[in-house]
Amino acid sequence: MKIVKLVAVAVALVPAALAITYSTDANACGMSIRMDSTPQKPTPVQSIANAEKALENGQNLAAAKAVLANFPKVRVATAGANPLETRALRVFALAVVRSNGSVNEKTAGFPSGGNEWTPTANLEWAVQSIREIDAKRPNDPTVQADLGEALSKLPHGRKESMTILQGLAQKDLMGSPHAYAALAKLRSDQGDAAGAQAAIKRCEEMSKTPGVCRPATKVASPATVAAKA
Amino acid sequence: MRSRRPLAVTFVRGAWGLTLAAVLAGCPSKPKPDPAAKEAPPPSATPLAPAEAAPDPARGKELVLTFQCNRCHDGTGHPAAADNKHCVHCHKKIVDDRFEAPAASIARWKPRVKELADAPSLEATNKRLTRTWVTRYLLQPSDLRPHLHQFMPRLPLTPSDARDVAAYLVPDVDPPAAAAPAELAGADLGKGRQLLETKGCGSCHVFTGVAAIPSSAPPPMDGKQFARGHTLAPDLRFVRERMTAAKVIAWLEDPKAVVNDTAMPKPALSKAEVKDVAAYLLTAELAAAPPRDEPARLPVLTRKVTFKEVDEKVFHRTCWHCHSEPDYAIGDGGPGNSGGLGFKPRGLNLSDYNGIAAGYVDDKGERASVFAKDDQGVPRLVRALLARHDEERGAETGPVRGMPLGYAPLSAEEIQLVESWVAQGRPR
Repeated sequence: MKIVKLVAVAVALVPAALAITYSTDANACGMSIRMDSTPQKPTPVQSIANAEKALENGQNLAAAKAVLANFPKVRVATAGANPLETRALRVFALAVVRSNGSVNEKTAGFPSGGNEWTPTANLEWAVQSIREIDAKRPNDPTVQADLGEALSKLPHGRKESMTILQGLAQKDLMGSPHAYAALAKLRSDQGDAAGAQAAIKRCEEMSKTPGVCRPATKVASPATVAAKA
Repeated sequence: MRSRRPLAVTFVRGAWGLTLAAVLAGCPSKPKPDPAAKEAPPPSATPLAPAEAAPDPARGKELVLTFQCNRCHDGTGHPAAADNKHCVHCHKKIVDDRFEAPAASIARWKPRVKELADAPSLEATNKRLTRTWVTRYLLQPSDLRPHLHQFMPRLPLTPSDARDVAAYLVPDVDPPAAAAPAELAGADLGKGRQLLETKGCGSCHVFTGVAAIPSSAPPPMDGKQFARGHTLAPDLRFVRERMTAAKVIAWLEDPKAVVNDTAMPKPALSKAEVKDVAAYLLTAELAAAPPRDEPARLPVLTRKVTFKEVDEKVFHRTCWHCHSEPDYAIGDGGPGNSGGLGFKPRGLNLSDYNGIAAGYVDDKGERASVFAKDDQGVPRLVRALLARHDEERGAETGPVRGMPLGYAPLSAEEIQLVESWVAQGRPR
């Protein structure tokens, strides 16, 4: 009976002992800084914001992973149906574009649902997705710059890309260094060295990520074009 | 006090910031004659042009909704705007811990919203103000309440709109001007001044243009009422422009009989004393208001200015609340993006780099850059910040509206920062 009582007292004291030994305050140099005892899982909004940040910093795969973790079916998302999902769709599509079609579910470590995305098919999907966002957000230069950038990666999209990006640049409405880099490449390919240089200059002024403005861009070959999943 | 420190950095400017903007592009700002430099005539001495059509109060009532006066003011004769559109109610809820949001968010917002947690009620405007003054104030709002952080925003009202709104708020036609109102006959100005000094008026009100009123104990009221009264107390300099003698007397006799929830306490004054105070308010000799100089234009900085710095010090601190992107923030993006307060949707998103670069929707419905230079070589974004200074000093302004709408102008240093960033090619 005595042992049972002893055990009961000991059990009752466990929470108090834990509370004493595990403080939520971190003491440093006599100062206390409150710490969260349980790390907070980022909300979907925070996750997508982080994905956008990763994309901006050139971490395309990390951006895609963050999107897929919250929207595993982002490939079939309808642009404009849900603001956060639309943002996720944009990030994923641009991660595909900026990786020249190499980022996909498989490379990000997520189930691909049996779809094998060739770079070209992936880029075609990205262009189509950004077009859908553009249709839902007409007259938005940010989306138009994304579309121009995406189209520049496909041989059949270059003419349209040039029209879009030239128009935005002339009106000084482009805030994406990637779009300026794409414009520089297009102008360079057309033999417009001065125009290319001007675009590179703008790109460098607004880019935080080294290497964005003078990329060794590979254009996807028009070989295998898989259907959109 | 913002009117005395026009270039001072204001801590939080949430959102409305408007003012009439004005200098014609290409023309240098020309200060208008300072209306306070001469003895201000009573309101009815400056009637509207006689050829103008009679104002339409019914249209005025509709316009009150069009311009969304009920997003800030109570007593508009319309239901208050929904909480998610009502700036004052929303801010008040946050300040009072009644807003449903995580505690951490509330704590972050609180210091930034307290300034827009009150606005004067429009209830019984007819019993307090003259129609002429209301019309003029709607068209060219000025800094009326020295302790209130925000300003009445300059809405896109035409003179006809302003007349109709004023006729709705003040149905009674102003009485003809009288050099010596009969109501004040026999009043003693010296006694009026003495009463202002001893009855606690100076604890809330300032009266620029006369010797400073010392602060004395106000009539008994609770702390909350005092704080509200202090915040909303107008500069008594403007009484003669805003009110008739009869309205001043009625107000001083019993403010709550005029506006039930006013924070103005009933002063302990006899009828004769009310007359003395009213006479002093309406006829004491006023010194000219100090001229407000053109803001200093500081040279473009030679050190590198990044977007991060400008965003932290200006865009996110001042502009973002009215110019954000609905898909990226709670709410509708603010009146500076999706429209409101009578403004068209301009699609201007100042919440991130790409958004700023994407410009705004112009009057033709086309996108235009906020960095486009006017014929003086000033980028539109900078012009808007300068125009706010022009508005505050009563100078003519051009087609660009002053920003921040309804808030004090940015300091010369803040404008310099924005201008430097633009001049350096807007580095990220």
